[in-house]
Amino acid sequence: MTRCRLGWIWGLIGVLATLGSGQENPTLPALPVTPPDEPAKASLISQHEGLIPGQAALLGVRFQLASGWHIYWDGLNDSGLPPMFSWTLPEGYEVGPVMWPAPHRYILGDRDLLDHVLEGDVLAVVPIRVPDRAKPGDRVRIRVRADWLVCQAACIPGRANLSIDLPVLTDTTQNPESRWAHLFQEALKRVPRAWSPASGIALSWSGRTLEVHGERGSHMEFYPHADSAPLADRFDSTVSDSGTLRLTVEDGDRLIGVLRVHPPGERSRQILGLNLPIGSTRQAPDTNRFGWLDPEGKLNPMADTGGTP
Amino acid sequence: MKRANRLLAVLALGISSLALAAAPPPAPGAAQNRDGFDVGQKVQPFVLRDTEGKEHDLQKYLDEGKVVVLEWFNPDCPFVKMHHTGERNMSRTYAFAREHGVVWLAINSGAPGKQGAGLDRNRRAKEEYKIAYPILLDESGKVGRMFGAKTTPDMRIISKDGILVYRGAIDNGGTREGRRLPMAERTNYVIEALKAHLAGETVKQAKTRPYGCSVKY
Repeated sequence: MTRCRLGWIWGLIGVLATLGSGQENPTLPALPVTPPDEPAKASLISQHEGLIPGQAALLGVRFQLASGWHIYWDGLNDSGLPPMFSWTLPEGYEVGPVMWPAPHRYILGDRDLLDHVLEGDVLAVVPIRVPDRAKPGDRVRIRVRADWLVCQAACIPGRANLSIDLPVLTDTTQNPESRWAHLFQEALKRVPRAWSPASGIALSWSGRTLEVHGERGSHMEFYPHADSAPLADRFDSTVSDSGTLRLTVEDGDRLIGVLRVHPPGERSRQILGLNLPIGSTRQAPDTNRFGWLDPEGKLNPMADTGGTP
Repeated sequence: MKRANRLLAVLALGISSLALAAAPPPAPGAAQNRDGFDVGQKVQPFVLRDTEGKEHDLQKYLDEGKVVVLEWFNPDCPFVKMHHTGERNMSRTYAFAREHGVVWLAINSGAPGKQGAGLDRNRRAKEEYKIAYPILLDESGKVGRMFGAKTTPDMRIISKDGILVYRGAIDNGGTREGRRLPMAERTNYVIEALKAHLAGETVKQAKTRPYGCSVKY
């Protein structure tokens, strides 16, 4: 098996991996850090008990936030900063894009600020590629330094050096789920799927305005990603109860973000990732870097597209 | 102008009532939405009192031919703390401004009772952080909203003609790349903007995304 097979994860994340594997810079400016008993608790967990050579393992940085406190999604926010991870991995291991759940809108003051935040028990799922040559029987230590900002009325920066030890196993038959597996299941339900026409949500451009059409009466919200071109009106154009959203994009060449659709009645909601060049309804080629699922909800959206193994 | 377009777009979408209800009525030359004065716009003057009771009139500084820097401030925000201690990013930036005859005003737009607000706290903070310039109190949040200040810190540079020439972050510490750099290796947007503006050039990065705590309106 070659690296190409996992191109969806590994092709576009060289930068992340490079940043993560470096030594910590002692002169790195750091926010004054909070004592350990504060409103956010972080831990590093694994979906399975062990690692399989040549496969992607799912780890997760879990934030347990006290009621009323939030951390920041990597959106077009007016304040705050999203968590930052610096990984220290054994040689040959690589880290994929963080799979964040869809955020919520958070409006402050008299509609002075709009942020996109995560609350409660938040799991940032992170795929780790185990190299082909990983040796069964070895125990591997994976470390991450997490830096975050947790806010209620006031903000408190937090930091933790987290680690997990996992055995390298020979094959999947002997790799049981860990006691945290249910958290991964729940978290992945909240990770966006890349939008496709099969979702039943129709997209069309009219100039620089993207029209989003769902079932009449659907509640829709759009959360612009930090890398998106700004929207003409983030406060009001991004929420609708009519089943239609009109998102007008200002200067910039890409509309990127997450769409939440609740159809009328009790039917299940959809969470869709959009990464569209202005005027186009084809997802841009770098869509995998956002850590979304594929349109069918599978973890491995574009396996084998990186080349022929 | 971009902000005008933004407003037109809002109107065109037929959702103006909500958007305008929350915005202050536009005054001549004033901000036309909650993002405040945009780069290239003429700002509206203001008068605020500092922690020593002294009045500061923006128009007076402009009449004296001064370029003015505004720094949104909250002594208890960790980002403010970070920029005012350690490598003293803020005072280094201020030192550059002062050498070039630029006026620097910190503004706290926190409402009474909110974190970091109030005369006493800010008077103490001036000592604590050894801040050499005045800290103005804007407890009603009027000036903060007029300028669309979102975070602490959040920076503005005003030309002597009263035109906004820079708005946004002090440096690129809010970007994915910049966050990982020591402060001395970051791009200091305020110094870069001042250098260009004082040399009579156009500011290249005139608008950046500020990062920090929310302003406690």
